[in-house]
Amino acid sequence: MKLFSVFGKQLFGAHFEGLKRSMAVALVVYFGLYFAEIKMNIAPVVLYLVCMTFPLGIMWQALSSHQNSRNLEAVLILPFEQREFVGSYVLAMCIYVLVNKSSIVFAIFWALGVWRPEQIMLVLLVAVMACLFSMALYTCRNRCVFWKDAYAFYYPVKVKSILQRRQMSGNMFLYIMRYLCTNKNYLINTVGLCGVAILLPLMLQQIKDMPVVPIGFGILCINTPLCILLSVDRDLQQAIKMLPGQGMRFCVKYAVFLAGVNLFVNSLFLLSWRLQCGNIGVLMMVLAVGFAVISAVLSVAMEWFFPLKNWKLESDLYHHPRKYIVPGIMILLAGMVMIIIMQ
Amino acid sequence: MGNSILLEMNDLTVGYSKDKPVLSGFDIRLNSHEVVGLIGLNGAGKTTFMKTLCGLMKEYRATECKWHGKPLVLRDNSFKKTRYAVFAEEHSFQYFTFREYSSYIASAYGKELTDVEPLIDGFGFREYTDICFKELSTGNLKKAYLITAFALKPELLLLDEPVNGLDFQSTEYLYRCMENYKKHGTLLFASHILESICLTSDRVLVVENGEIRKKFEKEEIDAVTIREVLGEHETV
Repeated sequence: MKLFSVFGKQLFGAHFEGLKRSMAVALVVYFGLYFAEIKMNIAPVVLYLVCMTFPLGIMWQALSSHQNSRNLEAVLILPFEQREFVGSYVLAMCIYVLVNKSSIVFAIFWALGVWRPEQIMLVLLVAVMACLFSMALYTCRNRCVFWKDAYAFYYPVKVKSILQRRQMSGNMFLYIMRYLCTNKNYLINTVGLCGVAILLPLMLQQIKDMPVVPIGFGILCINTPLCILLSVDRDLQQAIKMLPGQGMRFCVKYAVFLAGVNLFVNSLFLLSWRLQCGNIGVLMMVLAVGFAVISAVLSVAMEWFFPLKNWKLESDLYHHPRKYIVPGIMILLAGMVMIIIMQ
Repeated sequence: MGNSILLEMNDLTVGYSKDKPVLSGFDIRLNSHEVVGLIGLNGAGKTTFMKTLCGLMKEYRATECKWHGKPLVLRDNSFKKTRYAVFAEEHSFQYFTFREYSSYIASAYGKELTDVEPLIDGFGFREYTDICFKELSTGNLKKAYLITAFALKPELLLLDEPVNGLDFQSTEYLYRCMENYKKHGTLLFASHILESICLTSDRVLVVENGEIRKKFEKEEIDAVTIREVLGEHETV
């Protein structure tokens, strides 16, 4: 199983330390919740749905990542045996998705609910099938059947028709827009966030007697792809650190761009709130701007001072715990604002 | 042209982990208006030294670090404005075209780029100036960064394996640019290509085991001699 070792090291590190770390974290979370005796009524269908859709989405992200494509290239150019390749790759990717990425979700659900052994087995089966289904769907793009052809997984980043762009000045806003538009997943994520902004009032209005709008602003800060511009591009990270004056030239413009996006999303949220729940005051509009700016500044500061470095695939960035720090701070801030308003 | 001392570093120790420094006891002096070649085996520390000068290595120690005779802080913005580097594996600013990138660099350094058009023609880059870096081949991408470097004319220009990826004509043109760079400033470059070292350098420094083991100046720079020095520690 040499090929499994190759893929495993690409995904988990030279000594599979990523895998051990994920399992340890999942166990800590499980036993922490278990011994805290926190229980919730969770309908089995919710568990099955989550354990199907989550691995399915994560597998798709992992397969479509640029880094994964580069990793595959390196192996595909060498001689290999078809079955060993497919078997090793499928196994490595399934372990990556189920253990590295999904184990915390499983641990939380299993600790919070009361499940029969057959339900847990079914969940595992559903998760595995979701991974395989995602792989089958992905390889349809290459019109291949993945269990027959290792090249079914190889989908190199296509260079579209070479476009001449006649812009003379280097504008960082333009750069970030191109970054967003070139990586369609990031654009879809932002559009998805707009959808969440429109639907969020439906959920939040059920919380009575509390000014919950600031909580909405806090939740809507999670726009991971836009907030990892330096982490996802190590060469850009190096160049920005090396060049003079990037604190102003790059960071300020990046923060302004993020604030603009956040404000747009917050505006959609406020508009939806206005339509569904009633009036919004000037205070809420001011808070929308304030939250947009503060979360943008914090996100840029995280990228500047604490960029993520030791990642293997882009999906490691999308699910890194660091992504919850800024929303966490903003939700705490929202809580403080709510207390002040209620007083 | 009288050469004053531009950069002086003594007893530099730097690495990627505390217990295994890449450079140790590294002493280097660069004069103004000279071309210095760094040569050494893989892993000798050439790129690490350049990264140190670019402020990319957090943990470094040196007993002396001077720029124009004054104490130097490598991450200081005023020092950053005097140096520019092109690394061997450079893929930054992938969503800019060359025109946009060079304009961005010019405003970052607060100076105009000069001789851009002759450089574009010299490197055969004319048809690629308005194409995003992401869509350029490795060689053309390297040309974009090199054109920017030579147009910027910083006081200290650092090139790491500048010949890698270039076609024959561009390589010849690069050697001319490098040789003539001393009119504008100091060029420090690392290379495995002996030809590039011998044709362009005023001084050659051989890096070995984290320090400079041998120096060659002017008439001493000879491919046969340098090859012998590098081959001394080869085992067959």
